Amino acid sequence: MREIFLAFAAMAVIAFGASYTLGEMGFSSQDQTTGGSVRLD
Amino acid sequence: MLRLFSVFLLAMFFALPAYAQEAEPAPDRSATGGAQTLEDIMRRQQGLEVDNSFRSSNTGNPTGGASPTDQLGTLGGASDPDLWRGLRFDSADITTQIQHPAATVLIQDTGMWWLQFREGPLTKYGFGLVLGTMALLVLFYLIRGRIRIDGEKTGRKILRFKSIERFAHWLLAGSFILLGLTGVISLLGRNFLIPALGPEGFSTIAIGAKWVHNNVSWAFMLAIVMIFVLWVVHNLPHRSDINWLLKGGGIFGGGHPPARKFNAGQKFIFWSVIILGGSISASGLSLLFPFELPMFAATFEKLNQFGIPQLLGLGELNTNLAPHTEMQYAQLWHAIVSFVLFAIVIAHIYIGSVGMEGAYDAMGSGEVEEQWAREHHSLWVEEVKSKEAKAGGSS
Ligand code: HEM
Repeated sequence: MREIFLAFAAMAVIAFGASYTLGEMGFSSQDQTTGGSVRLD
Repeated sequence: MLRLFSVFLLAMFFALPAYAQEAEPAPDRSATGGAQTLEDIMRRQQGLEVDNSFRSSNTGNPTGGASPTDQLGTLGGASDPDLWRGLRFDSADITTQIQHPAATVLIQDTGMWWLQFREGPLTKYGFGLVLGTMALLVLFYLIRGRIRIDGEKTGRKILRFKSIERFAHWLLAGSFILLGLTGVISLLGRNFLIPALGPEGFSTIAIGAKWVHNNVSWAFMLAIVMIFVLWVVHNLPHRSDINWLLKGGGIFGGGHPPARKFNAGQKFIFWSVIILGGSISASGLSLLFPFELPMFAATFEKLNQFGIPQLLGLGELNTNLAPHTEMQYAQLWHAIVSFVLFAIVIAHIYIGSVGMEGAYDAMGSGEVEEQWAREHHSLWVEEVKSKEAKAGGSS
């Protein structure tokens, strides 16, 4: 039972971690699809 | 049955591009001065291939018009229809701020078959497969009932899966189910959920589902790697698998054929998860980084080299794929393989929970009733006992 909760918690950590890291690395669709002359946020 | 169906789906998948390539003799267009004829329109309405070569390059001549500064000068040598033809056949001169490889493709003329296949056969047969499997399992339950522990329970427990193994399993199971649900939301959105929830309601759900699907995918990929590393040694073929298969696993009686840690049925589940799950991950990555990781032209090239499509009577597969076409193949493959794996996994979930007494404990607490282990994995119990005896003897 403990492993199920641990796995679900890991899933959340991985998902938020992936979203944050990929965003920081410039893989957001905004970053990927706008030209250099467009200023984002 | 399942395998037959997946072969059928595969054949359909490879047949489509071949179907799209069939050429017809060009009709006589002198009556319309070279423009499309009633026959072209009728063919299109019947869903037949229309040869567009008569107009695909008919996109005007920008330098051919009289100069606008001349008397009675024109605004150029290309009319609006010329421009639309240029857009449709991807020869217009486009500049855009958007920065991805296919950004200048505003109309993808070859994409309609994909759209129709995705909304038609893919959805229909995909759900047919999953719901059909569920119905078969209900039928199986009604006929066979729960597989009970036959012998007297001993009250003794054997450790079957360590904590890390159970963690990896639940990471795999949790992420797979979440990815299945959120994937289906994307697939059914336009045709089923927007009519039911309205565009605004669906939009909120779709944004959430997409976020979950994109990001939880990493947990699934990590879990596949963990499961592979942890269990591959127990899933290599073994002599005992043949006997187990010949006896049908003893599912419909005939005793309990001996098995090691995993029986042949479980090995089938394991390799399905690794191979199909790996393929879903690869096509998923291709979709996650649009246009960056095209895989199909290269795969088709390899298949052509090995002569596989030729053997199936499909001729050489087209290896000159446009960026959008690559993405469309990736989407179809991702969804088809997911449906197949889902159907397999549903059967696994059934047998690991309601279908068999004592099975769930292996992934719950990690410890199973010794009698259960003796009935379903007798060779494994012997291995464990002899290891214990050796360890006891040497200490
Ligand atoms: C959520 C419901 C699920 C339950 C109740 C469940 C239960 C189990 C149990 C009890 C075992 C151990 C069998 C044994 O002791 O021999 C097992 C093994 C395994 N599970 Fe699951 N499972 C679930 C979902 C999944 C999913 C979604 C996947 C993959 C996508 C998966 C993949 C595997 C694999 C590869 C094995 C090892 C091979 C096998 O025993 O068939 N499981 N599962």
